[in-house]
Amino acid sequence: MRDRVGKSLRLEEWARRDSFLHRRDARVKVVSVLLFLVAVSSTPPSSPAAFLPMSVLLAFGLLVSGLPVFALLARACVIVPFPLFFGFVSWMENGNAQFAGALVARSYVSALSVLLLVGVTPLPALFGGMRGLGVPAVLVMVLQSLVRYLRVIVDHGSRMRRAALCRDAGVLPRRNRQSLWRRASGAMAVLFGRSYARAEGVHRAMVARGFRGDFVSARPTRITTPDWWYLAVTGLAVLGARYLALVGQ
Amino acid sequence: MSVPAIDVRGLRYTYPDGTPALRGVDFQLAAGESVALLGANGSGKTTFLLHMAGLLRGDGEVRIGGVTLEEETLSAIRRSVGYVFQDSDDQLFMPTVLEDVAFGPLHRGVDGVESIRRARETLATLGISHLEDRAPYHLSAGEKKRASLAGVLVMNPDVLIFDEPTTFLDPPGQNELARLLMELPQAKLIATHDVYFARKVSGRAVFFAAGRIAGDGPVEVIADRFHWRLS
Repeated sequence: MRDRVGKSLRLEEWARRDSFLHRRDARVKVVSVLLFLVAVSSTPPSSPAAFLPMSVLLAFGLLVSGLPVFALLARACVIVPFPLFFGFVSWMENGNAQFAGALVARSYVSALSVLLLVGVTPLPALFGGMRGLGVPAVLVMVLQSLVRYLRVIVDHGSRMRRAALCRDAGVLPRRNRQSLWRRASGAMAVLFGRSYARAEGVHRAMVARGFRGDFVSARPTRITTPDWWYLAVTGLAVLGARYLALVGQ
Repeated sequence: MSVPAIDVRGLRYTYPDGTPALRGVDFQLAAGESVALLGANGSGKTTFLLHMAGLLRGDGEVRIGGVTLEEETLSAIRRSVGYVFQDSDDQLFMPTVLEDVAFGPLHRGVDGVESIRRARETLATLGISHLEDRAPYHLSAGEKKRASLAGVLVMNPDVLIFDEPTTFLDPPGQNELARLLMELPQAKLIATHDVYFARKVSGRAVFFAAGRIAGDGPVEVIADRFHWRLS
C-alpha cells in the first residue's frame, strides 16, 4: 500500500518536470489525447498489430516527455486484467486469439496515453484545462474530489496497514483465511469511516479559506503558437496513424 | 469602547446524532487579545471554534468584529477569521506549498499574480520560502504547521483560531510556534491541552466543561482551579 502511495505521488512529481510536452497548454494536451483515444477506439480490433502505428506515436511521446519509460509502461499494466478477462472470454467463444490480443492492446495503448497526459500535466492545470474546454464545473469538481479522496483513502490505508503489521497481521496461519477476510472487511469499513471524517476535515479547511465549490487556478494560461503547432502536428500524426492502421487491415 | 473581536451569547449546539456539544456559551474576545481554551477532550472546545468560522451553525448569537454571523455575512466573516486546524494534513491539500498558501487569496477574488506574490511574501515572513515548491506531504510536522499558518496569515485575518496547534510538534517546534504567535498582532483563540504553551502565548484562559465555560481568568489561576497540570 505504501508503495502504491509512493507511485501515485511520483506521478504528480513527474508532472512538475520540464519538457516540451510539460510546457504545452493543458487544453491542447487534453484535445490531442482525446483525438488519440478516438483514433484508437475507432480502430477495429482485428489484430494487435492494428495498434502498432498508434504505439509508435505514443512511444515518440514518451521519449519526448523525458519520463521514466519503463515505470510508465509498468503502471499502464494496471488496466490489463480487465481486457484480458474479456479477451479470454471472447477467445473461448470464438477461438480468435488475434481479436483477444487486440482488445488488450487497445486498452493498454489507451491507458498509456492517459498516463502520459497525467505525467506531463500537473493535476490543477489538467482540471483547469478541462474547465477551459467547457467540461461542466460539477464534473471537474467531482474528479478533483475523487483524486483528493483517493489520496486520503490510500494514506489512511497505509497507516492502518502499518498499525496492523505492528500487531498481529502476518503471523496468522494461512489456513485461517476466513478470519483474515472478516478482519479485512472490518478494516475496510473503518478505513472508509475514517476517510470520510478526513474528507470532511479537508472540506472544512477549504471552506474556511474561501472555497465555494470551484477551484481557481493561480496561473491562468494562454495557448501559445508552439501549442497550436503541437496540436496541429499531433492531430496530423494521429490521423496518419489511424490511416496506417486502416491500410494495414 | 472598541468592538470586541468575538462576542458570543448563549451559543448552543447539538450534533445530528443528538450529542449536545455546547450548552449556552457566553464569551468575549477583545481586539488583539489572546485567549487559551482549556478543557478535556469532548468538552466542546473544537465545536466552539468551528462556530467562530461559521463552519458549524448553532443557536445563539455570534458576532465577529461587530458583524453578526448569518448566511449573508458568512463570506465576510470567513474573510476576517483565519482557522488553523489541528491536523495540518487536513489543511494542506494543494500539490505544492506555494499553491496551498495562495489558495485563500485566489478563492477570495485576488488575481493569480498577486496571490502568488502575497503567498511568497508570507512564506518569507515565516522563514519557509525554501519550501514553496515542496509537496506538503513531504514536510515535517513543524514545517506543515508553519505552512498551514502561512495559508491563513496570507489572508490577513483579524482573528486567528488555533485548534491544538502543538499537536505533532517537538519542543523546539512548540517554542518556535509560540514565538511566532506572540509576534502576531491579531486576536487569537487557542485551544490546547498544554498549560505551558497556553501560558506562553496568552494571559487569559477559559475552561470548557461539558459544553459550558466553567471558568475564565488568568491561565495560572484557571490551571490551578481545575487541576489542569501534570502531577
